[in-house]
Amino acid sequence: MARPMIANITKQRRWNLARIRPWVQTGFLAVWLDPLMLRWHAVPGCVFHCYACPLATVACPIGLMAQFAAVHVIPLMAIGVLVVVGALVGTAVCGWACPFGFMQDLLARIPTPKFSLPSWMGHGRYLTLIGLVLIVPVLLGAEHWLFFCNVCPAGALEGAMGQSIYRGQLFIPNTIKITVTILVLGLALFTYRPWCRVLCPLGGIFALFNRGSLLYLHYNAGRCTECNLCRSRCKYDVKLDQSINNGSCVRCLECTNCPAITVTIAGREPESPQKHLPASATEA
Amino acid sequence: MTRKRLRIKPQPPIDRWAHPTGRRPWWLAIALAGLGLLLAGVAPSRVHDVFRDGSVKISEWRLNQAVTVGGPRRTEPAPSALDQTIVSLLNNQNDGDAQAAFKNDDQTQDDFCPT
Repeated sequence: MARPMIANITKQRRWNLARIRPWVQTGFLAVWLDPLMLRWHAVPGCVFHCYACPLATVACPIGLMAQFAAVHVIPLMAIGVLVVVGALVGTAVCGWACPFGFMQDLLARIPTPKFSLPSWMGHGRYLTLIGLVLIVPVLLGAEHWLFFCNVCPAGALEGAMGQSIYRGQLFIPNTIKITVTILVLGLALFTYRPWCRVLCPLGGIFALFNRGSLLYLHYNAGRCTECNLCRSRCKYDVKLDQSINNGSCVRCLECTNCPAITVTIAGREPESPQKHLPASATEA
Repeated sequence: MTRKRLRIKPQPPIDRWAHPTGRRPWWLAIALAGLGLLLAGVAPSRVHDVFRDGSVKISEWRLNQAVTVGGPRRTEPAPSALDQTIVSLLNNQNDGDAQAAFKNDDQTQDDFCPT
């Protein structure tokens, strides 16, 4: 008896916020690409978008942190922006606003076989953050080849490639970052968001806030029928019934197709398990 | 005598951070801490030494601009002489040379706005 009712509920809730995500990402892209030619480069942004791009509106927070580390100054503005945004929405920034993530999403739409990445690889983001964004600049300076901006694929794509073509030097002196870019974009054809999940230091920072952010995902165990719909929808292999606000999640909200999972904000009463059940289900 | 075993469905662990009833507003404390950092960063009292002797100081706001616009990954807009001076310090150039160039450059002096 229970199965057909659950199917009905699933059908009723098929529309969700995730369907407008590409449009929101496109809207944010228009913000980061400076349509009004504002060029607020003194303002730290909250997404992974290189300020070397001639159209960049705001500064990349990771680039700022690395440059400040090289001069041994703590970038309070950049850290403050990241903490505020992280406390409000967590990794939803990655899923809905980041232009580099959006590009990987577009590449993932190309129909190729996709393989999953083991969850332990997510720790690579912290290795990048601590190693290339903090330790290398502090100890070796901004000119070292391992300095984060010298290997950054977003910088290569948005700044270095254009400049290199303009100057007629495609690979030298940007060999490393262009190689990293080609590898990341190539991998993005065969797995979902390889940069964000394995190496992105900004994603690693926002992931720290996921469990305590204002916006969060709520799993209602009472409504779960173990149909596996949520896990089949999730492209990032998050164990939604065990730790739904995991750092691996980019809050694409695809899992909210499942009636057991809702997106909500802290302080709001979670919906009752019986609230959205059809009359036939409550009678039974 | 056999005892009937109870079958208990395993429950997921409680996510104590994102509590469903919102009784633990960690986000508010974290957001306020972040706001505090942000305000501390933009405060006029927050200044950084351009030269090690402390003769020239700039705000964090201006330092943000210098490292992004004047840094090695710059494109547009064109960096000012102060931006380039700061970046030359980023590149570990000699303090004395950079300071002399700074003092001899009228455009830099015009561009420099003491904090």
